[in-house]
Amino acid sequence: MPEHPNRSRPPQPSGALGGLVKAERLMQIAFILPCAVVAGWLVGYLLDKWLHQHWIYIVGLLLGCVAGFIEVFHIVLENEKDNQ
Amino acid sequence: MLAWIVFVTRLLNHWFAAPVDALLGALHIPVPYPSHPINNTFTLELIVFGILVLFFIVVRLRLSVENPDGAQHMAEILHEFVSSQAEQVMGDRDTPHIPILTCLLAFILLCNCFGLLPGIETPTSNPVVPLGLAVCAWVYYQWNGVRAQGPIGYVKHFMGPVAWLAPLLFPIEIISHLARIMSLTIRLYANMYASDLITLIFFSGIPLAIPIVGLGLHLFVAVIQAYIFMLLNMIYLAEATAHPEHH
Repeated sequence: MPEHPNRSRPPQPSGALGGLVKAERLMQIAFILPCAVVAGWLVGYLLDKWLHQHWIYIVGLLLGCVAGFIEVFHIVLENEKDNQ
Repeated sequence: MLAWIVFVTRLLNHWFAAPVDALLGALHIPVPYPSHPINNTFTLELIVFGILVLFFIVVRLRLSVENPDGAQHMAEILHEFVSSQAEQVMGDRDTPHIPILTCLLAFILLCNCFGLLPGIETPTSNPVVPLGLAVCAWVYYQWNGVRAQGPIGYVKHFMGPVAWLAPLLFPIEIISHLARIMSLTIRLYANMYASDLITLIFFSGIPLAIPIVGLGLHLFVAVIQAYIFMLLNMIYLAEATAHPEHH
């Protein structure tokens, strides 16, 4: 996957704070996937209501899954780079 | 809940219930208790807001190069901390976003620390408060992204570097940005809610002196969560305002 040109690298505070920040960023993995799925569903649901359709929420759910996975990959890749 | 907060809430409801009801009605938001639209959480937020405004006014009035007092030292430490973080994340120590990021950090930290007072529910353990903060921060960084890159440049930034992938990446990036509101909200809310529960368990089930451990844990979570919220918003701001040619 090509790296997004606008993604900035997270800071690397030293010591215990750095460890905590890293832990919090890894905890983001647990949050981002369900959040992206819900956000995708919500966008699809609102579009369904607006356009009087009944299928866009499924597309939203799928795109939410993909968005969540991409974010997870980014977080994992950033963590890998930090470890190297 | 401490009696004085309940008293202030009653006072606020007595004075402002009618205009608040009218405002919520205009926004088509149903009000479950029209005589009491303002709750204790909102009162606590107002108190935190008041404390911060008072603090900054005091610092400004007593500003001195020769004899800085305690409040000035505190303000300088806070400013120095946020500036150093901005230098690491955004590459600019004097970015114009420092004041709002400092306010965000101070507001969340103070809200979180209110839970240390026995009998007071942390304002951020009510999902409405983190959601409001997340939405404000989200709107702020999106707006600054548009200002920094222009509307077309900012929309292009959602399309990724590969042209033929743009139709797929655009909705994905939009959803991913919207998910940030939710993840910021849930992270702060869940951590502070859990921290409140742990403090409550320590206070109710364990003898005297031991609850200090619970309070220490609450303080630790309060500081870390305020810092993480500020840091993530700084990262989002840096991403939104960065020009692609600078990478």
